[in-house]
Amino acid sequence: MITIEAPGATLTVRAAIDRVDRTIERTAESTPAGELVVLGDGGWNPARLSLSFRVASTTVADAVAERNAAMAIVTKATAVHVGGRVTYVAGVQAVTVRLRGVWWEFSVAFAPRALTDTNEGTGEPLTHSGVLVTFGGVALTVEVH
Amino acid sequence: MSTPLGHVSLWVGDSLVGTLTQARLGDLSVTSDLIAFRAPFGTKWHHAELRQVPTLQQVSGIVSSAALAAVQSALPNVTRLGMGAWRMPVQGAAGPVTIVPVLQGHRITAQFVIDLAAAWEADP
Repeated sequence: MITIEAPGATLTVRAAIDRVDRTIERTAESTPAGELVVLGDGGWNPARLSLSFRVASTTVADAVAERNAAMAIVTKATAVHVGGRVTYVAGVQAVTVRLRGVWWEFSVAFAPRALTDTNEGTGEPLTHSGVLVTFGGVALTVEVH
Repeated sequence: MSTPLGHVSLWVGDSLVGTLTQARLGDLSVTSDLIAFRAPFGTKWHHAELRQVPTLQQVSGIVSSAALAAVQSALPNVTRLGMGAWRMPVQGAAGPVTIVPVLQGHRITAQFVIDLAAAWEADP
């Protein structure tokens, strides 16, 4: 069972797909002369956590209330609990909802904040005299080392 | 992929402007502009997001030839989609609209802008 946590609400689902996609910033090419060239710093790029699950109701055939409740939690998710593991997420990148007759199929892609301690960005909000500093409406954050 | 739905009614305010028969409810697609990135030779992941971009719900169905013009003119202003016992609040059709002649009339495929925060309403 997987629990999706949002502020003030949780959703527990039995996921059909629970997958983490990661990429390493490294590509290999060869020059016209046949020399192998490896590009990239070899670091781990931000990951993507994908879940797929179904939402149904035991009492109502259309399960609209359950669908709406699930949608509200998924789009505001802050963490995903799998067994004893907690993955904090920065937000949702994409959601696709399909009606499958009497149940709804959710496919959700989250952006994990980190998978290890080393790649957890601190992202401290930048404030001036207690007021959040923004640029074009976007809050500025600083990396603390 | 889509699922047969029967009928979908199109409402502008309290006025019924048309009904799509043999309707199919397509994918509801929520996308965000949340991006994740890492500085070259850095280890930490950063995320930036301006706001959630509009959600789109695809719907297709057949409308009679007599009602085609009325439905087309109303599409940008549709405020609710009636499906079964529910009315889904929408903010009009957006983007490409496909109209294909069929035996019963015309099959229209359109996508509607959805406000995720707006709750579905029970059909009065």
